[in-house]
Amino acid sequence: MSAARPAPSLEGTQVKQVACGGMHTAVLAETGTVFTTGVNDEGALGRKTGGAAWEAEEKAGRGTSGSSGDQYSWAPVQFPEEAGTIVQLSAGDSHTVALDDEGQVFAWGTFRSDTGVFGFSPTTRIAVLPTLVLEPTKTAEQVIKICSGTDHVLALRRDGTVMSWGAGFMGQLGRVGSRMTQRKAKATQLQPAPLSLGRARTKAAHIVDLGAGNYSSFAVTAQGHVWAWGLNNYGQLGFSTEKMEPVLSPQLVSAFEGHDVVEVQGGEHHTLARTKDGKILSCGRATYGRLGRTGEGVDPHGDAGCPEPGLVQGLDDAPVHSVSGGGAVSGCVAGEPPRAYFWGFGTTNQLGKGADDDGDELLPLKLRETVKLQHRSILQVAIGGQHAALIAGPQQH
Amino acid sequence: MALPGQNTPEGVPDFKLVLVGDGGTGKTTFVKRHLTGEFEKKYEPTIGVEVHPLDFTTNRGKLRFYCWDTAGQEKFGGLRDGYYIHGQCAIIMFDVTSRLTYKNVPTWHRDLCRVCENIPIVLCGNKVDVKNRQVKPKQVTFHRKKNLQYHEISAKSNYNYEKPFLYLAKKLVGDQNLHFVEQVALAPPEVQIDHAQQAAYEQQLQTAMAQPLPDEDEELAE
Repeated sequence: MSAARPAPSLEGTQVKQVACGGMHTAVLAETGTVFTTGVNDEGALGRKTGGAAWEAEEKAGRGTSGSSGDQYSWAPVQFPEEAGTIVQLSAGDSHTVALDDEGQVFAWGTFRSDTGVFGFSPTTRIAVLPTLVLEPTKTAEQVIKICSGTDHVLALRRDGTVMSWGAGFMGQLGRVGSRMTQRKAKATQLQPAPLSLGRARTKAAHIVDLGAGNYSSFAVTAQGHVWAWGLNNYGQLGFSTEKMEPVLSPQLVSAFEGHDVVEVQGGEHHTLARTKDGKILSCGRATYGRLGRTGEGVDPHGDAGCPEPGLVQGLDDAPVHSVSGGGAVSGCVAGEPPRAYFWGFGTTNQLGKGADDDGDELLPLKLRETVKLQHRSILQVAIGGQHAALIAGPQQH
Repeated sequence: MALPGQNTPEGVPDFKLVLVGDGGTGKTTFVKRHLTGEFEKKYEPTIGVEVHPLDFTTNRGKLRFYCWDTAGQEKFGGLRDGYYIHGQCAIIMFDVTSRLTYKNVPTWHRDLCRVCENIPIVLCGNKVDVKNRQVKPKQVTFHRKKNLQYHEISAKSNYNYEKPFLYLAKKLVGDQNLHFVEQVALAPPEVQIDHAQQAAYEQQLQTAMAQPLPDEDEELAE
């Protein structure tokens, strides 16, 4: 598919949020129902379909009642009885996470590492159905926000604590060292645990938002400070690449200081930070145009990292409402009425430029409008492994 | 490109072969099957790479691939240009039992083409020995758009082991009639492949190749 088109069988469903994983997509309807579609090889859809993960379940004689659905059509996910109304979703390469209105977190799928499947929990390889992973015992522990990297999850609790779990080999959990035996790694990394924010606490910083790139993590404070941890091999955390080492615990990003950052999202090797005044700063790898800016030191044909954040160009002062990153692609919703923009790597048509045009875009490009998309406000954009999705409002003439 | 201490015998052409693909797709298992290559491999810590000299005997004489295998560097998602540079041919690998590993194939391909212009590239779908696999041949479409050679292999059973090397050798030597005249010494198979099942897959693959790529464009606004 090379241009934006409506999701078949979801037409008529009021959608509140869309989350793109590596090769799957999840949407949250206004009613609280969660729909998924895409690749289910490692359980990312949270519902029964054909395929290896479910065949393994059947072999093991586990809860396989109910009929099998199609992976490639939208179908609802059934949650356990204890789940409240789902209010937020996040998705990574082979996992999906859902937050309910009681502050509980459900997850399914698995996390991969550089040797293949790493696991879902210390004891489960793949969870094919929604599984309760964070159960608050008091109000302070209720989760109010979740976000996903490629193979890790962050959750913000009401008391300001950040929880992390998944695969943390690039420092993205912010709480594990770089050397660990495989067994110890599973027990430590796949079990949700709070991470220490050290100086962030003492600075009386109140964390209000979380963000993630594929292998990076961010916490944003009410005062507009950004804390980052994870992979920094191209300067995607805004730190110097002199040492090339992952950042294993949260560090204040001094390069973002004074910019009043309100939202941070990222891709594989780059980061986008939205500021209070509606601009985007980008840093990290410039290859294929994902930084959305040109100029000295920004070479879209080379391999150099740009740790120094710079302003994304080409948006013509249209105020930016939200940003999204994934792989080597960037996107945002900007302008009045709000429209979708994409830039970066276009090889799998994820920039939506239409047939025969899978070239890169070095600067933000307004999404090409189809008959069905025109005259609609864009509410959200999401970027997956080889695809992108958006939520559009009603057609206005 | 050999590492210091690796010497190509006089008169034998050698080629740097870049091996890429997601972690867990079986790249190292694949390269280790070649016994003399495994014996003579060398490790280069600054780039984090192991270089295996893989010798093949053709009807036109011996040739050698210096196969560059990353030592876990792909966990950083992609490799630095220093790994690709001077590459003369490449294998991109994914795991047919986990389609997620196909996701990055376009990116590996772009990085290769950017650094090493116009080199022959083979896409290999590994682990075809696993039953009930999910990458049905017709879903593997990126390489068709890019006219990439595609082979299904099973490193653990040695199935089609020589196919990617033969394709690359033909292209590099510039002789479509080139063929291997000696069996390469490979590690004994660890699993057996279901040949009837595989033949059915290969048949599906042929059928799929003959079909046009899907074109389902939405009508663009004025």
